[in-house]
Amino acid sequence: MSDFYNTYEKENVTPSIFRDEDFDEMQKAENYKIGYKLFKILFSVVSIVPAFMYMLSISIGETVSAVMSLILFIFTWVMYVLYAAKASEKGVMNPSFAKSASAEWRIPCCIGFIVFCIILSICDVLDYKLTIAWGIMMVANIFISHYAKRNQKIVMKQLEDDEE
Amino acid sequence: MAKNLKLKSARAAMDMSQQALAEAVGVSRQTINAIEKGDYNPTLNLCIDICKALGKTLDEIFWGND
Amino acid sequence: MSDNKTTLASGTIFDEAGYDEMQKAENHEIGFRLFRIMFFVVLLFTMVFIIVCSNTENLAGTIISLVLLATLFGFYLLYAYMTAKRGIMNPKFAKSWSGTWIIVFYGIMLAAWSARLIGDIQNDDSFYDVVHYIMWLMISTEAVLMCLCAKKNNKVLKKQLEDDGEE
Repeated sequence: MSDFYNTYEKENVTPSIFRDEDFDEMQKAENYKIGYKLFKILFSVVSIVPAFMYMLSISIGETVSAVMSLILFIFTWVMYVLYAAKASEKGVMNPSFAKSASAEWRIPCCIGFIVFCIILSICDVLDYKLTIAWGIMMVANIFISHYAKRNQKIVMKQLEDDEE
Repeated sequence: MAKNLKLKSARAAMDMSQQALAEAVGVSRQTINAIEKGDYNPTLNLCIDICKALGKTLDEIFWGND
Repeated sequence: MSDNKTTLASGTIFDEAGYDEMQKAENHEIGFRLFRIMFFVVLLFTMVFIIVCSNTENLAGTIISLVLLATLFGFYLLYAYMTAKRGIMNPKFAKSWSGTWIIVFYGIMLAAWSARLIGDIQNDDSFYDVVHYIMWLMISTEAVLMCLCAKKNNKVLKKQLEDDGEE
């Protein structure tokens, strides 16, 4: 049976389709590739839905739904930032993206935009609930910019370390 | 990717099944099968482990397709 | 090296055009791990969301979260299908999910929940009362399709190994 299923038997393990401890290098590589492709699509889908739900909930005055949508919205952006963090840790962030996201003007612009939204909210020009959503996105972008800079530093260090 | 017939014949010469080779190098039989069929490009570490298990060099199994 | 391929990518963080094998491998692993986390967290969240929205009679919220649940199950099945096609589904998972009894059991569940749902619709029950039947229908359908994917995985694996004529 273990020959048929081509893996090493580990006792007392609850099987999950995503469990990669049971895989060898080929199975891992192929599963990672599939997971990555689906992650890209899932992220795009899931990032739109809570934003939409949040807008809908605040327009119909549904506080509970609005809060839950906001939590999911924050979670989605956290995943985005986490991806950037993990990729930059090894210096494997998309180079074009890293180059543009690490531009010096990014962080000041994001901070400026947050301040601008807050001012508009105080002046009752912008609903504070929208300010919250924009604030979350700008904070995430600040982190992304920070990680993009880190990526560039790490890539440069990797290349410098090898200089003969 | 082309089939790796050198691997297959090296294994046959040692009278080793795919399963035995797989166990010797710490992968699944499916992976050995995929490498022989040319469906998977193994990492260098795996190539080295396979060569050691079969008592061959990298050139003899994975390089030099002439 | 990545510095030679900077100009090729279109510039989103997920774009792998221009990556070499090392960069691809590393990004794939990161994406896979985050996919795993994201899937389970969003799934749990969506189920809670459905319950909250149906209890507060938020129609739009209930419908949207049901659609999101269906989408998540779609992703789960897509992952299962894509791995089964290559015979690389988690072996333990494939083994436990390929039993024919799963199709029988969940097929019966599917029929039972469908009958219940149809009955309640005919009795003009409120949409919020039938939401959990819809959820169970989705779960039963997902289980049946997952079983089929697991069986496919095992067939593909068997064929891969038999083709070689080895023991």
